[in-house]
Amino acid sequence: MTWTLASITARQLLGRRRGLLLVLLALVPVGLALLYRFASGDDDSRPVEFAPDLIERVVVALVLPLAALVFGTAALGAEIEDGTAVYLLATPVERWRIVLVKVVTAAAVTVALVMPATLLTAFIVLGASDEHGLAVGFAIAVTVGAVAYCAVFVALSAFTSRALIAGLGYVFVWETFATGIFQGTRWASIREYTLGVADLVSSAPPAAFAADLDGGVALIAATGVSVVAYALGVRFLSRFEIGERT
Amino acid sequence: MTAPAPHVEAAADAPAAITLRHASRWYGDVVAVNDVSFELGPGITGLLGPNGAGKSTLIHMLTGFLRPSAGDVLVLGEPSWRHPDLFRRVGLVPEREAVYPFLSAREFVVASARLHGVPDPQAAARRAIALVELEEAQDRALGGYSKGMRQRAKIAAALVHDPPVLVLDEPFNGTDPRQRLQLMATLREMAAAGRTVLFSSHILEEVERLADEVLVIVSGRLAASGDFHQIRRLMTDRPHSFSIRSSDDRRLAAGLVGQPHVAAVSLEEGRLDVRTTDFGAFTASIARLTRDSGVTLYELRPSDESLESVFSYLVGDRGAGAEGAAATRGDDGPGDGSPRDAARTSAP
Repeated sequence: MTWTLASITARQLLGRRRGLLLVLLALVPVGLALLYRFASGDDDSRPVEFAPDLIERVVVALVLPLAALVFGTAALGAEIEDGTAVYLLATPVERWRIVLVKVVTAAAVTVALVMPATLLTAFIVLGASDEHGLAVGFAIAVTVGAVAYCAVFVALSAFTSRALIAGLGYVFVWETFATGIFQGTRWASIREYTLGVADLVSSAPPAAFAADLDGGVALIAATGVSVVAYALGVRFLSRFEIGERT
Repeated sequence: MTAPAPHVEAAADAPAAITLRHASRWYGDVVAVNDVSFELGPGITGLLGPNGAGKSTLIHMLTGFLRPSAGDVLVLGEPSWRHPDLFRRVGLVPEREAVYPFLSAREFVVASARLHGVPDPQAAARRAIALVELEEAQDRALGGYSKGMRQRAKIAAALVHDPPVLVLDEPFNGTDPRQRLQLMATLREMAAAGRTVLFSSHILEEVERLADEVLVIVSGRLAASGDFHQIRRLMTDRPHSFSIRSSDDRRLAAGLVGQPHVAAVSLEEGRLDVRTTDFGAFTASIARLTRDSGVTLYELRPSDESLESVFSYLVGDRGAGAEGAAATRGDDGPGDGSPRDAARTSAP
């Protein structure tokens, strides 16, 4: 039952043009890493500083939230929009299981896209000399971030048909501008949790990479957000009414 | 049909398969379903009404996809709202045409079997696919199916767990005449095997050909319920208009004027408008008449068959006649229970 749900969800997420567009997006940091590797001059930053900077600015701030937004809102929202969700909902499958499978599948697809981009970017910039564990740190961090983002976006799509717009607002208005201007709002940013976890796992010197949030706090916050968003998603789906979405 | 439907036995003291008690649903100030009550047991019941009458809202309520604003909606004795476990015993064919375009019909039906917890999904899917005669195309992606084939795949998916209650929302939309006959035969088998089959339609003739009982809903209210033939008699006992296109309208008009059941014929530009006092006699004789006249019939369509016009006639112009013809004309409230008791009409 769970596998059937996951399989249909994954095929739906991967079978469309959006998958190809997101692969192209994921290649952006890899391309920039190649540019650094083959076109940087003597005055450019050292690899141990450039790698986390590139991954933070492009992978964590752009590729990860966009991929999670697209997959997270499509995992359930697309089926609700096109009417195929009724084939899942007109079954005795518990709503908690449907939401769980949707979140896990969307997160898995997001990780499958973002993690290779992260590892490849780090490898190209740092070569084999990643003594601070930046590649592994960011790889684990994007996994944690993908789960949190996808839980939020799946819940949003069970709540509103405008989940994509709401998610874009969260990622680009809240996380990019609000948390950049007001330091005190960073506790409410999945991007900051992701960076905090990367800082927690890696051992990069502060001069090269330092997150604003404490790693332990970031991990707990990411877990809390994921659990709360998941619970809300189950609640929304349990009370879902056909033709009643706004 | 190639695979017979397994028989379903209902316990003598079992609750009605579907029960609505003063059920209403409104959206803000708009009342979509207004104080509807009925009970359904095994057999085929047609839910008939014009587009926008509230049929889909009613079906969504009884399949748990809409919470009733007031009243009770019970399926097999249990409230349908927030009760997905009911789908172990209920099959739903939704109105929307959407299917997973990347799945083959077999994958789709097997997935449905698995999601319903069927012990042997492959065998159950084979049976359901055979029931709707979709074996030859079962390995093709649903995205390439015609509307009618998709509809059959949806029905197979709804039947795969062998539910005692089957609810179909406009199941004949998009099907061609042959597919329609096949689907009707399938549903008759389901009903003959003891199942409760409820289907909605806005087309009178579909309901006439299939349903033993009928619920007529107009403007959100139960306008009539009971034996279809009694209600149909009310509907047919009125003048009907048809629009005809043929190879020689003038010659056909001459032949039609000689028919006792034809009240008026008028030649319009490119078509013939005919008014008849006997629907059945006219439809039975038109083919013979065109053949005898050596005229080729291009198109024959009723021009006043909308349910709005039928019910406007029944409850408006012919209110007194409707009262006496076949049924007891009720008060303005909903029906009082089973449509199997007696035909009953009430003003919408």
